Amino acid sequence: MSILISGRVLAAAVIGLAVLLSAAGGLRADTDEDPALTFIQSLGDQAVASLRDNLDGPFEEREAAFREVMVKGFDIPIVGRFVLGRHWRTATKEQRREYMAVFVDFIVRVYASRFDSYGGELFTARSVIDDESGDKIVRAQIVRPSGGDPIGVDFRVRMRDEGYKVIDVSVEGISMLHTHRVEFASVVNRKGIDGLLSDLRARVEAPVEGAAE
Amino acid sequence: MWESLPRRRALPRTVAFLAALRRHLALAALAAALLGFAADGRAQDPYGADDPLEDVNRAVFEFNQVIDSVILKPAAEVYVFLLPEEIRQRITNVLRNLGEPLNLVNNLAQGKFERAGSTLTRFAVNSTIGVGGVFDVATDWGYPRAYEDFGQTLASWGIGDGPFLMLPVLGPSNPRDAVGFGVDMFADPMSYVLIDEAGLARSITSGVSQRAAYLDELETVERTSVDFYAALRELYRQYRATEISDGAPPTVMEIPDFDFDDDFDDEWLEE
Repeated sequence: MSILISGRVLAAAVIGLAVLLSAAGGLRADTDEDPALTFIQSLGDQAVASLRDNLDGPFEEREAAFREVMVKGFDIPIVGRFVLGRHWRTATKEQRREYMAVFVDFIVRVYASRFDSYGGELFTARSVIDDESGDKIVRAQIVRPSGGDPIGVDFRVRMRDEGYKVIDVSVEGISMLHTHRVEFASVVNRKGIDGLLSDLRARVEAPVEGAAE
Repeated sequence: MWESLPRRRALPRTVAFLAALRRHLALAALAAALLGFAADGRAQDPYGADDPLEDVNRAVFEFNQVIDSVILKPAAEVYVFLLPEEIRQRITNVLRNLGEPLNLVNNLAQGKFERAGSTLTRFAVNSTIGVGGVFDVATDWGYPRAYEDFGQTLASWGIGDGPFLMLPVLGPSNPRDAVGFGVDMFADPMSYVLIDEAGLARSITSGVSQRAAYLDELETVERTSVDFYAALRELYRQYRATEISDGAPPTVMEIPDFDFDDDFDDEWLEE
């Protein structure tokens, strides 16, 4: 029975398209349009469209379209450096350059893969929370036409010189930025920064036909 | 003490064995907890890896991956292949409805009376008008699901999670949640209604259905991570934190505005 019950806990481990966030109540559509809300709604619409418009093509085409949206909407230098954490300081200039180059590819691959199945679904930015750090957290929902639980997505948004930029995305409460930070640290601890760089390159260069099917 | 309970009556031998296994798991979890509760070391570590047993945990993880690939995952794939999404959703609804009494117990134990009330209403409405839980009408009526387990209840009582544990077969956990899991198995009122084959059927369906729900997601995480184990460990930690906070956005480490000019020229931005 333990094996069978275990689906429970195993499932709990997984990225949280989890059950209970329907209970995240109190999410109401704001009528006074916060500019951060508008920014996220527009970004989400573009992202969903980039995946939907290339639905019949290979994953690479969707990824390329998604990449444009993401590079424009995210502050990738901040994200990349935060994710490398304390190891940024010990990295050589050459390692930093290589890391930033491969990190863009990696993060685009991660998000494009993760949101690939949401192409054509309904994306709604619903409310804005002012975070004590000065960031805004825009709470959005992806509703799947097939039914099932809506997926809660929180965007951490910061005002930069060029306007609002996303610096973190949490799906059902799970921050992708913080997850990668811990994950990268684990790899650096075991294999060093060059080990991380080669693992990242391997991920980015791996074929993705699985994602298309 | 459990021998006196009606569930023990006329158990087929295999079920009796599994019941014993359950008990041992709960004891093991309790022992782990006693070891673990004292040392809740992750709070100050921004890298979130309170994992002193990492070598053992990684070995267990390898084992679990094998179990998953030969049993759980194939079962989930067959389930998805045989049943359309609509039917699978109905099955999920029924299973969740069976979980409501336990949600009620845990909501009450945490003093969450509004959520307890909603849970009670859900169980009454969905069991009757919703035809045994097949249709989740209560959510449409404004009574959202309020999932709570005993791990969350312990957290609400101020008990820390302790070091990360990768349990054989059961997967990612920690001493607090392992104890919670054990307690829930006995505290679940439904487990005294659905006994023997019915209880077994519920467990099997629940396991398969929940594994099926994560088929694509788990594969995506594996494909897009450089350290699958470390990714799952962190996902589990954040996932539980979100469950404990009932979905409120967690307080996270501040992400600074890095000054790239300090120690790094930004020529790489030019391309």
